[in-house]
Amino acid sequence: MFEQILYPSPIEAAITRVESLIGDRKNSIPHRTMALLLLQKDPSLWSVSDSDMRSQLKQELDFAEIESIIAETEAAISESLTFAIAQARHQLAMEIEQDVTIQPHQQRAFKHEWLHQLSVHPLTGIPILLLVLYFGIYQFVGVFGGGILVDGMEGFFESEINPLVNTIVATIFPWTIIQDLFANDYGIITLGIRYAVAIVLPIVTIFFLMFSLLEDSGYLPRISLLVDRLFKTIGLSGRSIIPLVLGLGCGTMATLVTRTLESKRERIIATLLLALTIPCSAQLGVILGLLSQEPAALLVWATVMVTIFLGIGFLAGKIVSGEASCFYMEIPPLRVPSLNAILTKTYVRLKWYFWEILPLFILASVLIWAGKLTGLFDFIVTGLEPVMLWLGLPKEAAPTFLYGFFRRDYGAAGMFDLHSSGILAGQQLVVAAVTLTLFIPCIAQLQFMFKERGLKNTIAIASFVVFFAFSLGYFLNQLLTIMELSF
Amino acid sequence: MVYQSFSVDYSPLNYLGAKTQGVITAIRNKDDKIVKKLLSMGVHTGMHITLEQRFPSFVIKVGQTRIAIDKNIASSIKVRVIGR
Repeated sequence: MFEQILYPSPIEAAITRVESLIGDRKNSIPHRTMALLLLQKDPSLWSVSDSDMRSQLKQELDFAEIESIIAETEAAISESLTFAIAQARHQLAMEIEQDVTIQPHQQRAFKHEWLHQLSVHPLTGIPILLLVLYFGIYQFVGVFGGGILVDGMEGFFESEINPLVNTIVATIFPWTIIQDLFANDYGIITLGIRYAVAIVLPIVTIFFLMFSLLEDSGYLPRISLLVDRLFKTIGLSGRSIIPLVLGLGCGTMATLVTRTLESKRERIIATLLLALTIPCSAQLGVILGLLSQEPAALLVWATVMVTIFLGIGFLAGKIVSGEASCFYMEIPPLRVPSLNAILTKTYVRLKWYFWEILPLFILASVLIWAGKLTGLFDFIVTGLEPVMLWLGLPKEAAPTFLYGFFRRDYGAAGMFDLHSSGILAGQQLVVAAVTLTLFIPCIAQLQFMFKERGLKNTIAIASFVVFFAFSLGYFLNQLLTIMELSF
Repeated sequence: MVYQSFSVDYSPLNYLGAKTQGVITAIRNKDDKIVKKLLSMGVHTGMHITLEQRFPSFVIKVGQTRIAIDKNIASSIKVRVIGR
């Protein structure tokens, strides 16, 4: 049986008066609930909106009358109505809790107390955060996922599957044009599916595994708590660390998650930073894999990315209008995560991700095929070649930038290919890595930016990102040349 | 009145030291949304509150709930100190 809350009598009187204003209109919501929502000025009932139910409500309800009821009642109880209603509910909830719970040992609730203290104290928390990032992201995702796993699967594809596919396709279709659609250098199977399965999938799987582990252990809110002050200077709050860390996995998914942020301003800044500075896991894996052989190159890349992240964030915080962000977050207790839950989460995310990218990878292969056939692709690549030379890159890098538009990770995977064949090395590798990381978000991320932020913001962010990526690539190349840094 | 003494009843949380314990006497913020958020997380007047940490964020414990908040939100919680 449920117990109806009895509010203090002035509030009960107000509820009765509003109920009588609502009258006997037929509605799916009980009148008492409606009255309570109206008294609390619930935005979904008060805001002027065109939705059927509300406009009908607006016509029939005397809002001025309700307003005066609220004012009278608040004067009577000398407190805000919202506040008093919440207080009464909380009181009842506490009484119920007292009735039905027993607390055998006071200590049990604080089992991992010392670990919590270590994880949030600035002196120990920040080193722990750096260790988690180093082992979790760099060693596990970058070196293990992007290096060992990708090398193995990619090698297997190149040596076993691709030749097999080429032979089979060649025996089925006698025409080179059709053969190229499925096999050879840019075929759906030999390029599209190989990129998706052998390069992107292992990295993303490892990342999502790591992210689910951080999520379920309750560690993520503690990162928010530690970075809130720093993030305030770039117009964000600690809460934004979650979409940003998720962006290290998949920028598209992260753009979707920015809707959990409090203010519109925060959402725009986070979307911009995701589009510009945060590499997705496939990019990150490939870049870490390639650059880790040259520690100096990796250091330059990391320094440039962090500087741009903070610099652009700081400027965006100054430019994007809106109220300053506030930060509040419940800190759940640290828990040993359940393996089952982690695996399920990883699986669900991977499934979403894989079905999101596979059609695009195949589409990219088809478009490249069609583009090559009609000469359009060569035309764009020829157009990009001067830009490559301008960045000090070999002109063979041009297609990689074009692929990068279809999928960011696709572009990164192309870079992996270029490096293995010895075309890209040293300084060029650093410039290419920085430019590709900054360069436009992939089609899918763009699509989600459009869905979440609208056309105007998407166009503004995308054109800024393209302009900024190439200008910065140019300056970085000049700077590295002047400083005579060699990798 | 030449000077006014501080009322212990109404010390905003952000003026208190770490490990301070007290009872919430009021929750006031010009942004109504913040007050509502605090209420929905179980931060109510009359509740026992412990300020666990001040830096890098304020960490409070109310009932069984632990919450991280920024300085602005901390200043909206008024506390009667009952000990350290």
